[in-house]
Amino acid sequence: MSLNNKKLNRNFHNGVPHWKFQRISAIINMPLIIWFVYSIIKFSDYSHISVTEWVKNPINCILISFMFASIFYHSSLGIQVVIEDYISEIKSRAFLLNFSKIIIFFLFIVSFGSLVNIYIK
Amino acid sequence: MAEFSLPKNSKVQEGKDFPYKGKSENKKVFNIYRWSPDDDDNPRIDTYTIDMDDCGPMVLDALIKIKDEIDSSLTFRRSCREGICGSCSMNVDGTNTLACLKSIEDVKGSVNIYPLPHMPVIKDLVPDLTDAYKQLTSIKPWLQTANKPEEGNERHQSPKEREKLDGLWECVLCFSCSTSCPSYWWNGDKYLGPAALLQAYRWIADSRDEAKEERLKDLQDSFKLYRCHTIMNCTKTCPKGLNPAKAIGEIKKLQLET
Repeated sequence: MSLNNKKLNRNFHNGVPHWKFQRISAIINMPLIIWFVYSIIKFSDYSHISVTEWVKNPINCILISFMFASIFYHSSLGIQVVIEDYISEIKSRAFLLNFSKIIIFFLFIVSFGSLVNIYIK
Repeated sequence: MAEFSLPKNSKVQEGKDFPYKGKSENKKVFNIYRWSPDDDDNPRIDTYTIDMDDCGPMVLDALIKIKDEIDSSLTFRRSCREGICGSCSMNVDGTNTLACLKSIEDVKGSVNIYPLPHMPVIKDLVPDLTDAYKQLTSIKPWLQTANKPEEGNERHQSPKEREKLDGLWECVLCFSCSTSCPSYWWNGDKYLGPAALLQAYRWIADSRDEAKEERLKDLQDSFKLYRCHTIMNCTKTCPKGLNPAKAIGEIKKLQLET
């Protein structure tokens, strides 16, 4: 690799906020996912009507929305780390970082949209 | 992209065999990585069988015996022979360690010896650590102060403040930790690695140092420090029993506070 002073002193983005928010979102994910899985296990009836009824409950609906937001945000941060770890070519890295964010945002919109769709129907 | 396979000229081939011709029953086989820049040959594994009744207990003793008695071309670094200088770091039995602290008895079967992983090789078991030393220098591993102590006085430190340096100052800079870290393998040109970061924390934790904030700021970069994903290979492999992963964690905690 042969490092020179320019290479040694270059700065990439500040890593502190990323590290902090990755941990905060992980902590938020934990109770929400445990609550979600526990609720699903507790269902006595897995029919479409009873599941949509459960989702329509405003508290459940709000908690699921938070869970989606937290999971997708946490995933975005995690995928960013993987891309930064393994893709060293700067242009490819920038493209993949933006591409992954678009995909994750799209998935969040689809998930959140489905939730709203169930709620208003 | 990260490289997942070896280039053609790095593929390790079978090398020479140096069998033991004596009568002793207490024998041990050493498979040692060999590569020389003087020819175009691929690296190879040479096999040496030695009489353990006539050899010291450590891996370094065996290497010295091989060099003295069997193959003088075998090249490796060594100096103090007692785990203080950090020169004889290499990969023994799949783990980075100091050859002088690794007992041959602890290795079951034959002993496989390679240079420190993922570093350019100068010859045989000698890795090129030039960049690792540059990274160490970049964290300014010396006391930085704006003020001088009063004339005739030393810089005082309480026993409690001094205790904070335990587990940090003992590092002998063998780079076993850095070269065991997958993050350092992938991003060794940007990530400083556990050895340099342990040293960074050694000065951050020093009550006499007055550049703590500057040191923390220098490490905020997403690559220099934050490529550490707590894989913990560094702590597992450290031949001195130190904990670089904890030191890195402490730096991260301090950065949250500032």
